[in-house]
Amino acid sequence: MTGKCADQVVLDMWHVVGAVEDMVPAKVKLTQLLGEPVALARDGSGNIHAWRPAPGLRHGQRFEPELASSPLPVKLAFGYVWTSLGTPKPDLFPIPEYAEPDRRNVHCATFQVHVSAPRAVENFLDMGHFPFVHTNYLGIEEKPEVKDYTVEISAERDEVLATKCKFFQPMAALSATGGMEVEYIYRVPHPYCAILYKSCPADETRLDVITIFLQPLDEEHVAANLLMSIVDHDSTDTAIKAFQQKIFGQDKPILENQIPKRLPLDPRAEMPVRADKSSISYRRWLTGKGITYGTIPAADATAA
Amino acid sequence: MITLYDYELSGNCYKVRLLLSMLGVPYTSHLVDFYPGREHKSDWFLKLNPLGQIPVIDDEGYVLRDAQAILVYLAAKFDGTGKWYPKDDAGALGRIAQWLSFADAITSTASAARLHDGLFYHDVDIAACRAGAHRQFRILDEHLWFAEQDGQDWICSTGHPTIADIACFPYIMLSEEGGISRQDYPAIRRWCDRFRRIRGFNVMPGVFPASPAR
Amino acid sequence: MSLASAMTDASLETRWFPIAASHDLPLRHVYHAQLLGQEFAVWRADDGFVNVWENRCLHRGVRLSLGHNLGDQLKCQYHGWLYSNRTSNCTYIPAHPENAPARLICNQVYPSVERHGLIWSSVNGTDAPQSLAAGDVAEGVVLRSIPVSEPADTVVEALSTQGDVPLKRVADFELAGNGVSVFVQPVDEGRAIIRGTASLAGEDKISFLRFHNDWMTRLRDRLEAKAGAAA
Repeated sequence: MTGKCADQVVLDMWHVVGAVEDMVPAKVKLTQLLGEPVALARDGSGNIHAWRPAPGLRHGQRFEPELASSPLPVKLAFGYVWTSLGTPKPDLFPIPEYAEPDRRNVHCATFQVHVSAPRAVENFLDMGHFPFVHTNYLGIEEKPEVKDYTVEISAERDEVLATKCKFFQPMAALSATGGMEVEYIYRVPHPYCAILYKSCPADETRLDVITIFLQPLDEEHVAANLLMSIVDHDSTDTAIKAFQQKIFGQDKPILENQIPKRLPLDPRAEMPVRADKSSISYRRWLTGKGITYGTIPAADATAA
Repeated sequence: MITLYDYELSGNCYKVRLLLSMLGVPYTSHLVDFYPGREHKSDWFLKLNPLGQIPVIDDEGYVLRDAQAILVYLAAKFDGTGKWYPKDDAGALGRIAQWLSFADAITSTASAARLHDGLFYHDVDIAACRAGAHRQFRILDEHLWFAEQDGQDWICSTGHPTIADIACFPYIMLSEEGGISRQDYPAIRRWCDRFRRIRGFNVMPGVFPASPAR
Repeated sequence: MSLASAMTDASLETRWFPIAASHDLPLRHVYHAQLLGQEFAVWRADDGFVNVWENRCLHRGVRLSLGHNLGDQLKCQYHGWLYSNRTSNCTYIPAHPENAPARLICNQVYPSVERHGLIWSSVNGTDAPQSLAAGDVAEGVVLRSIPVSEPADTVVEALSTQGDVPLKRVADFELAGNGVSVFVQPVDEGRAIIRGTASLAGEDKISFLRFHNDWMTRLRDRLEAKAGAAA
């Protein structure tokens, strides 16, 4: 996994580098971000450190403050650690629901996947694959239709927003007791992060929130962080994790068999249909931001 | 009722789920937070299995660990046809034991590679695991190719799949998650199709069904 | 000119190679092939036609070798798009069940010919030549193919000098001798597959197949061990 990032837009962003709860206290965690080694640790007082490691630093070695002589910025949000290799803006995108007191916020897993971050985001936005990849959970082959929905690129919030998405799901969530037409809202507030809101089987006035935060290890490998922020007072954490891991585990072989692994931004490179409106907008949004890391920019993108 | 201490993404648990499904034996899953929670290393689980490994079954107080051992027990107890584990056929039992051991060896290569690539198991020697898996797959591909030439569909030539097929299937079918392509093993790929068409087969994440043939 | 440098030669792309054996294409199977770096999804329809397609769904790039051979169509695993036998036209997009797909959605198709128990194709070939092999092809049985993690030219060289069966080079990727025809399929720059046919002379078929499998396997092991030691 090599290849340094030359994409200044991406370098200047906050990127997720793991769940706070997965960090072993006082032990160095070695990871990689945008092709470069990054070290993390949680010290005895609970403070999180991120730094560029000197050669020879070992994963799991005891943390000493002098190890972190080239510190990187740290932000904690949604139970995850975020850092940046450049000069990030002060704030990360908001998810207001996360702070609601009766929500279950469950870090379901971090999985490494052999794919680019934008391919993984695009799969997360896609409903058309539910009957074929998540058969009998998020879709059935007898009801494959993706009805028309609305997509906009919000200039104010600088995010892609898809609303009025509807899909028939036989088992939409752990708390579902039967098939239902589920309504979805998707947000892409960060080139490598996506959030979905879906009907909550336990409370029809609320929406369950499911996110994917992708740590770009390099252009063709990600660590996918799966968070659920849901209204469900019955299920155990283990069962909630198991459900989301099952769903993502079904996506994994698809993602790892996409060629090329980077996302082509040229509209003629692949063959979208109406159901792919959100993907088309996402690719356009990435092009507009000039994102080259993890993508294959259109040849004439700079001229456009 | 049997309780299976189970983790959705475990190929070894999947072996047990497959046989239970193919035999039509009801069971309940006790979910273990293997990842990221490492619940299989927790005190309560280590009492159940001091090796700290899944799966484990509890059949009305009879507790058994090790996927291969569980397959032997379940087939011997619940398979009325006697085809999955032919108790009276010494030659078949020897072959089955040989391939159960081979399946366990695949766990130490292909499964370890998958844990390295997907779940951040840093201590795995990934190059050695992949090379080991390829050596094993070459042996199995050759075996299956000659079995086909002899009119046999399964790992052991009894005319019916055995628990040896079940034990070998999961980590072969999941090998690409550890960076081990099956492109060079066409006889294994065909066997994977046949396996996925066995009555009672079901999927796990990472494994898709095969389309019907006849 | 060495074959390694020939790999970059455009003339190789118009050349025909065996890419699978007929027995690699049982009912409702999708075979994963590769030639000169190009991946193929190869599948036999129920009418017998052998389809050799680029191993990539046009829609979102997923390998079609993950898909399902339905007998007259290939179904992509990702979104269930159906591609028709022979033409590779997309006939159905489940996300829009009421609309017929635009006719222009058509997969990249490669030519195929089934002869001598082998499936032949070409990366950039058009009509198959009268004779796919340079020499006479031994008829009778198709040997088990042996993939080798070494370049095709290394494999050809070894077959012509180190095999247990004396073989003479007939053409760049073709050898023959003792009632055996051997073809070397350049998979990519570092990998090849040895394919062969033979005339069976009154022997036990399985023993005969084993004999050839065994010497080719030993040859492969020696080649790879040598490369491993050199590395």
